[in-house]
Amino acid sequence: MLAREGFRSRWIGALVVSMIIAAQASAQLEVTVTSGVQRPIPAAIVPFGWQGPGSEAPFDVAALVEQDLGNSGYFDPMDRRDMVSRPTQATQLNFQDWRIVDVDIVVIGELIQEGPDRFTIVFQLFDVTRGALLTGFRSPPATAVELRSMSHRVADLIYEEMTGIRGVFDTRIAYITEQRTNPEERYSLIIADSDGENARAMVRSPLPLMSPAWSPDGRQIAYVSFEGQQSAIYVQTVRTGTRQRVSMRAGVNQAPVFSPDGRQLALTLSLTDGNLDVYTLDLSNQVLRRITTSSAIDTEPVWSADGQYLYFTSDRAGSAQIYRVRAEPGERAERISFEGTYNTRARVSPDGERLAVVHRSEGVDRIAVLDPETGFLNVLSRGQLDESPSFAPNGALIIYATRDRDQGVLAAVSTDGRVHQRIASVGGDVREPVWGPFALP
Amino acid sequence: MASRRAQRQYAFVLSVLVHAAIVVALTFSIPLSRNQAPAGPNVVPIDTYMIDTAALEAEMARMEAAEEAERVRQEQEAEQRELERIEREREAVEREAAEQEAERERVRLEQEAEAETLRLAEREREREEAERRAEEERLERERQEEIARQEELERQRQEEERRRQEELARQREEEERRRREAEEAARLAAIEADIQRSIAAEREAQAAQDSGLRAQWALAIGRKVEQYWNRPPNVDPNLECVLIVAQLPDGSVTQVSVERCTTNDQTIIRSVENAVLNASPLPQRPSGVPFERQIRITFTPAD
Repeated sequence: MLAREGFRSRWIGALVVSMIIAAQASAQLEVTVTSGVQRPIPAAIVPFGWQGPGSEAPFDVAALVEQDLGNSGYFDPMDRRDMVSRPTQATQLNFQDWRIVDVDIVVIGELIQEGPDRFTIVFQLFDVTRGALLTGFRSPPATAVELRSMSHRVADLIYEEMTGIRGVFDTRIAYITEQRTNPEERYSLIIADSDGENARAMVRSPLPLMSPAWSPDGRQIAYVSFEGQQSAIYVQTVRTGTRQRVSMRAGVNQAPVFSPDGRQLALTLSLTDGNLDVYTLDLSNQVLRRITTSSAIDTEPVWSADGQYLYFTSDRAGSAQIYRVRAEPGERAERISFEGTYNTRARVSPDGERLAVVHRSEGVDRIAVLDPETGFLNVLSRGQLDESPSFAPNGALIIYATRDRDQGVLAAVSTDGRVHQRIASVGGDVREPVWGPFALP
Repeated sequence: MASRRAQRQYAFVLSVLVHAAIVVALTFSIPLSRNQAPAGPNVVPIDTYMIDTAALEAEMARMEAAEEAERVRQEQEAEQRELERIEREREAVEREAAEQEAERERVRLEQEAEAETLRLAEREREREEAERRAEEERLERERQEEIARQEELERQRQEEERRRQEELARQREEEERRRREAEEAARLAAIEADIQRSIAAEREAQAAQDSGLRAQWALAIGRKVEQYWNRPPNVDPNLECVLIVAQLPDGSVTQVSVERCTTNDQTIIRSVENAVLNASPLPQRPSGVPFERQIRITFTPAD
C-alpha cells in the first residue's frame, strides 16, 4: 500500500516539477538594463531654520551646501524660490511636495546658536522616492568662523551618501599666484578652501615661489623660493607660519615632495656639476641620498603610495617620459609612459593605482590619467596648456591649472571625466595647484 | 660402670699411698732439720724415742686407712649394686611401657584399617549411586531433547507452511499491484503526454510571443527603467544586480527586492531600486500578452 503511494507521489512530483519549469519558462518576464543615465541628482536643499537671536541667521548653511553640491556636477539643486514648502524639521516634511517637483532628495536642517559664538548645525537627508531618511548629522559646536568649514562637511556627508565617494568640500588647496602689478609681492603662496574661498597668502615674495607640496598630515607645506637670489627649499608650518630652510645646496634646488610617512622629501638637485638628479632628504637628520645618476635630466619626483618607489620625469630616452625607480640608491629605473609626445609631472592617486600626468599630444598639453602597470592612458582635460595635476584626497577629482585669456586659472575634472569645473582663485596668474589631505578629525 | 669402679679403687690406693708418704716424710724430715740447726753443746739426743712413736702412729693410721678403704669399697660396691638394680628396674619398666605402646599401636592400626575399609565401602556405594543417578538423568535429558527436537521440527514445518502461504499471498498481491500500477502508469503517461503536448504548444505560442509582443514588452520596460537609472559614479563595469519587481496590471510597481547583486554598496543598490520605483508605472503589456505580476530586472552595464 505504502509502496504504491510512494510510486504515485513520485510520478505526481515529477509532473509538478515539469509544470513548474514550464511555468517559469513562460511566466517570469526577464528585463535587462544595460545602461543608465548620468545626470545630476535633483536635490532640494531647503534653507535651514535659525534658532537664535534675531530673525536672520548669521550664516546661510543651505546656500553653501547647495553651491558645493551643484559645483560637484553630481547634483542638480533646485532653486529655493521654486520650493512649495520650506520644512526645517522632519515632522514638517511632506514628501508629496517634493515628488511633484521631481527631486530625488531633500535636505533640511537648522542652525542653532547655543552660546556666544557657539553654533551647531543639524541636518537630515531624505530619499523622496521611498520617503525615507538616509542620513542625519548634528555637528559639534563651532564658532562663526568655522561655520563655513562645518557647512562644507554637511555637503561632504550628502555627497558621500549619494555617490559612495567621500566628499572633499571640507579640504584645502594651495597654489602660486603671480601679480605683475605688484612688484614687491609679485609671487604668493596661497592657501584656500577647496571651493577657492577663504584664500590667504602664506608666503609673499618679489622673487619666484614654486612647487608647493603638502605634508601628509596637512600641517606643513614645502616649497621652493628664490628669495636669496638662489633656489632654496623651505618647509613651513601652515598654522604658525614658522618655516625652516631644508636645502640651499649649490645649483638647482627644486620639486620637493613629502614621502607618505612625512619623514623625507624627494627633491631635484643639480649640485655643482649642473646635472639634475633625484635625491631623497631625511628631514630628521638631513641625510641626503642620490637616487638617480643618469646624465639626462631627472626631475619632478613623487612617491608611490607605499613609499617604496619614486616616479619621476626624465628625458633620458630623448623625450620627457615618466619613470619608476625604487627609492634606494643604485636602483635601475623603468619607463612607465609611452603614449604621446611627452608625459611629465606625475602625481600619484591616493590608492596608488593611477598617475595623473601632463600629457602632450598633437601640440596640446592636457591632464591624463596613466595606469603605471598597463601603460594605459586616459586624457581627461580639454584645455590647450593644462598643467600641474593634483589628486583630491578622495581620488575622484584632479585639480590642475589651465589658461584662460592668457591667465592661469584653476580647474578640476573628475577622474571619470564626467565633471569639469572651474575653481575660483584670488586672481593674477595662477599656477601649480596642489590639493591638501582630508581635514584632521 | 667398670671404669668407675676402677677409678674408685685407684683413688683408694692413692689415698693410702699419700697417707703413707706423709707419715714417711714426717718421720725422716725432722732429723734433717735438726742437722741443719746451729750445733750447741747442750743438744739432747732424743731421736730414738721419737721414732718409735711415729711408727706406731703410722701403723695405726695404716690400719685405719685400710679399714676405711675397705668400708669405702664396700659402700661403693653396694652403691654399684643399687645402681645396677635401679637400672634393671628402669629397664623393666621401659620394656613394659614399650610393650604397652606397641599393643596400643597395634590396636589403633587395626581400628584404622577397619575404618578405612568402611570408608572405601561407603565411597564405592556413593559412586555407584551417583552413576545410577547420572544415567537416569542422561536418559531423561535425552528423552526431553527428543521431545524438543520433535517440537522444533513441527514448528519449522508450520513456519515453512506459513511462509509458503504468505509468499503465495504476496506473489498474488504483487501481481495484482503490478497490474494496477501498469494501468496507473499508462493512465498517468497518457496525462503526462497530454500535458507535454500542451506545454509544447504553449511554448510554441510563447516562442512566437517572445519574438514578438512579449519581447517588445520587456524591451519597453527596460528602456523606461534605463531612463530612470541615474548611475552613481562608482559603479563597477562588472556590476550585475537582479531585482524582483511586483507590479499591478496598470504597471504600478508595488514592490522591489534585490534577488542578488555583485555589490553591497548601498548607494548603487539604492540607485537601481530607485530606477524601478521612479520608472513606475511601467509600460503596460501589449494586448494579447498575459499579465505578469512579477518580473525580473537585471542591471548589468554594457559599457
